[in-house]
Amino acid sequence: MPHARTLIRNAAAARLTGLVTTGTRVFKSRSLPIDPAKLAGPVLLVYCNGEPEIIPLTMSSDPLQQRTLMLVVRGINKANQLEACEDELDQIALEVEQALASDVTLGGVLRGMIQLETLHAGLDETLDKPCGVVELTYRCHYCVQSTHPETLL
Amino acid sequence: MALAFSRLQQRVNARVALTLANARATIAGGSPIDGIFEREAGDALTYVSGSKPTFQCPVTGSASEGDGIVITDDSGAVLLHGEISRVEDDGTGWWTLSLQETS
Repeated sequence: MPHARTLIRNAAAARLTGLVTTGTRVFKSRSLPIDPAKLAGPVLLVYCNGEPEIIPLTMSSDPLQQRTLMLVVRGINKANQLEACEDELDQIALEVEQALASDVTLGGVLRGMIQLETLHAGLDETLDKPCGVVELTYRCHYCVQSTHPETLL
Repeated sequence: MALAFSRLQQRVNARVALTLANARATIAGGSPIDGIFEREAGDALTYVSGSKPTFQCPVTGSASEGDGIVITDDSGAVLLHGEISRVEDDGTGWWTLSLQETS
């Protein structure tokens, strides 16, 4: 069984696949820069950042842990005009937020829930076309037994 | 003396353009200008990749941000259809135009 982080990332990517603007262009664990113009449209990158909170809930050698995983969903876009690029990034954010807000357990994978923590956006005009990035960071609350971080409780 | 330098500079720039030009630019529907077209790979905002097209040529006429530009090769095939996003005059009579595609 993979780590709970993997299960959560996979569930989030599955939930975000098929949105109107980004379609099937959803990639996990990708760190290299990407060109949406070569992929026929805006893309989503999904990956797990750190876990700033791991709280033991029981006093034992194998405590139950309450953990918070920072899940990042990054939308990347290029367009012919800067304003259109920004509008599309907003649309990507809208679709991602709606998709995850309507399924806070990621299809039952999480017993806890997923909450939007921050949204950052940026635009740039130094490439062949105006481009931009919108980054949504979610807090995913979940519990595991310390000896079984692969089993979501 | 300054005039001699200026003339020398113009001659060198013209020679460079003549020898190294690989494309022709039409800016805002004006007269064609021969120059060097490059499309270097580049990244932006850490996560976006693409290219950074530029056209270098002797300072000729006028070029401004937002002007339309069409770059063609020897055969007349369009290499880039877009607009100028930045004009840099290097002070020696040579322009570097940063370009963006609009289609």
